[in-house]
Amino acid sequence: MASNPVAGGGSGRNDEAQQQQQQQQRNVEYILLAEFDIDQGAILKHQYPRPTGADDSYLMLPDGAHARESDWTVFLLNQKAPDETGRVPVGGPALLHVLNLVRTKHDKEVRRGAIVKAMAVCTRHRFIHIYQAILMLALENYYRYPTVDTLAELYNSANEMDLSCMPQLSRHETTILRFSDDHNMFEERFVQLEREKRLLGGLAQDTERLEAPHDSALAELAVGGGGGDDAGAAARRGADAAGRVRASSARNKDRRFFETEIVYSTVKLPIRVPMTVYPEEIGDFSLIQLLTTFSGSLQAQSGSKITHPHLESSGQYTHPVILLMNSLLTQKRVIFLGHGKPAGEVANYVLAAVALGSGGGGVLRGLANRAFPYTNLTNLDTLLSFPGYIAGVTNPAFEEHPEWWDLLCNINTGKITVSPALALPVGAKSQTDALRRSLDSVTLSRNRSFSSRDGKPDKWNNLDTEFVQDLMLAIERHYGEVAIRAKVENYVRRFMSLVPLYEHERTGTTRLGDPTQVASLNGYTISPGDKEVRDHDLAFYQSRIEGFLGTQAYHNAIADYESAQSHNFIRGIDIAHMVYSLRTSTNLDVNEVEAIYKRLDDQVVSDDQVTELLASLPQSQGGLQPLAYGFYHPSPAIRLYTTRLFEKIEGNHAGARYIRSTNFFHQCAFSNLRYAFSC
Amino acid sequence: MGGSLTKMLSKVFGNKEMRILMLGLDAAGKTTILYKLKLNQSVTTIPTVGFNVETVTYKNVKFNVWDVGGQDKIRPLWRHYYTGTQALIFVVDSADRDRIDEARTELHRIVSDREMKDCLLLVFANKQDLPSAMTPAEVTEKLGLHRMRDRQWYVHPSCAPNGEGLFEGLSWLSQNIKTP
Repeated sequence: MASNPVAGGGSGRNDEAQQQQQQQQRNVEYILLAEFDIDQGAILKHQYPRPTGADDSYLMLPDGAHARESDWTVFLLNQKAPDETGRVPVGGPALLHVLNLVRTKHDKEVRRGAIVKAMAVCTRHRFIHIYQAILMLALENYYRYPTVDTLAELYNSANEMDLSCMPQLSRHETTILRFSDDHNMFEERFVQLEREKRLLGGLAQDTERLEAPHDSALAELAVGGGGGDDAGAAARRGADAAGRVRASSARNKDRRFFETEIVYSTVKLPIRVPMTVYPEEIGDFSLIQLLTTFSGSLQAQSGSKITHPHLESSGQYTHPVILLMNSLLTQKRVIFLGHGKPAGEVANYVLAAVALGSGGGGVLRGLANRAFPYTNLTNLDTLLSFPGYIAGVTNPAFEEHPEWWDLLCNINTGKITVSPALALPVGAKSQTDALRRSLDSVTLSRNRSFSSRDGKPDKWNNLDTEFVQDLMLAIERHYGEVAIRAKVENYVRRFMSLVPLYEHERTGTTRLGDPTQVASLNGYTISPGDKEVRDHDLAFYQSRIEGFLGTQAYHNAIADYESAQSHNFIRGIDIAHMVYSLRTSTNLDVNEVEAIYKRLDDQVVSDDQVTELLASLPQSQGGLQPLAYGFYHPSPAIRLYTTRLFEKIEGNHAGARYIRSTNFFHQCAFSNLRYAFSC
Repeated sequence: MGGSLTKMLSKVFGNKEMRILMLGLDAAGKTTILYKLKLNQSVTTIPTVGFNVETVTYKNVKFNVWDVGGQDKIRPLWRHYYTGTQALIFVVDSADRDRIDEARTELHRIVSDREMKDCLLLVFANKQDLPSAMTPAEVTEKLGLHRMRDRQWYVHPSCAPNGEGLFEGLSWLSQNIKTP
């Protein structure tokens, strides 16, 4: 009753059916309880409302749980191991994210002096951290009342959390909000849902007068928990008034979060659901922590003197962060080892690595499916059945088995080790030589003036170094997580833009892009200067692209491209590439510029198309700035296209906010030109 | 400076390192032994979830001791710790006559593993302070150690809380360690 679904209006239709289905689903699927039996070991004591079909009690009772008062672990359910062909089967039960809390209570009264219990919430939600507080209360409760009823109470409370007023943002809208300076970007969507809810609440109120006065969760929540538990009736009477007050006070809310609450055994827990989560972002991890931990030292000796072309892209000078990134992109098995660390801390490194490899969580898909944020020896067989797993462990025994992993990141020392057992890809040697040659030649031609120092080839001055330096500088200047993740996203996007080019050049075909569009990049939309840069990039990333082809993320990218082709609102043009050209290209030809603006003006017409355009112009990266330069172009045609485009943008709710936040100068230009053209 | 001096000294005095795996049924006293060796004090222990690992230096030998939980369900995990193990300390609750057969089965299973074929075996007949404790000879016999040929083994009585017998056991290990 309380989770009555309301279809998100105006959002992306591409997976609307799926979204609706998800809305009808519960917040929480299972509650689990495990304990450490002093005779048997870990046992799964209760599963509510029914068994999950797996026994993960050992992941709930992490190594070393006896040595600390409490710890958190994160793991996933329904992960799909790839079949013989290396593909992950499509369909099946959805991936569930499990947040688990374990506690050790010393008690002199009991045999062997302590009781270790753990409780877990299994949910589809990727923002699992919102369940932390309720889990703490519930586990505490279970120590007092160790029955399945305690699990049922938690299950019911969590599922009564009302998300019906949370707008379902499409992927493009999520991107817009994520990088927006304006926290009220989609204010009207919230307001509309709240109004609908109030109307529904009013209806419920009317029917209630006739019926027994309960079944009121809907109306009660419409008031936003204005009163106490027993004040419900009184509050309902004043629902309309309260609603009005709330609507006006909500003006300055940070709409990047949806505020709701969970009521658990008379305790009201405020919950903030993040609205801007990308598909591969799970929990509340810190990418900054991952990057700072592993940016310090140079990598440990890999054991073999031969560098692996997928991983050590700049030979032995490869920066550890790049080494990690390369391993994730080319689907190597990565372990994070934190001996003596809480399992919860180790898990955060893994979740951060998933975000790193997937491009801030938003470019590549499938890394979460092979993530084991906390795992241990009990799970070894499963782990090894996943090529390219990303796992967190606290047991140093893993370090002694290099045959189990390809890359080991030691959280305590900040060292990254390439497994000496890691085999080179077939024909790698000749390939690396070729790469090095092409690289050196390109580097030489491009940066002649500082191409060598002390006779060393210029390993330091390359795209990866630029990327890492930019990241580190941003971290030093205390940029936030979102900004850092955006940098990673851009890096992986650039990598992904090269893959179809490489594939097309190599094999004459690609399923990651339209070959005719890919070919046309050589033509009018790319200038000669860009071509040189592009060739340099291709040569630089060649070996990693080789390693990326055929990975799970690669197959998912093909599927995503195909679905985008049939679901995107803007078709036939590569918006991202056009924006990229306008933003970064040097000496673009007038005809090229005109072609870009004309096509944008032709293709971007409907509201949804404008939203899609805005998503490729994140406000944190200047917003409409690259387009606004069209106002000052000598060509009247370009000025006209730009003005028309801006008029359409202005008609879009988010677009109007974009325009309001652009430089005052641009706004003046817009209104002047608009006046001029309308005369 | 300090580092090179230590290196020189270790060359003169033969500083050795030894990887030790300590196993046994649950509640045999493994963790109590480990922390008695490490801290030289009796700590109250609770069942080990997973493992403990500590470094204990005794008579110039650095013992890297792994203590792995012994409950029935987690014994299959023991094998993951075998690689590189130079000595096995098998801890027996000498007062637990009911489970001495179970202990024997587990011990024979461990030492029959290929990765454990060269390792030394030290058995602590622990909990000697309890009135009903079996003598070391009895433990030896019940564990079927006489049937173990091609292996150096040694049974020593111990009482973990007061440390009796523990360092004698380590002495035996340090004397018999094979330098690689």
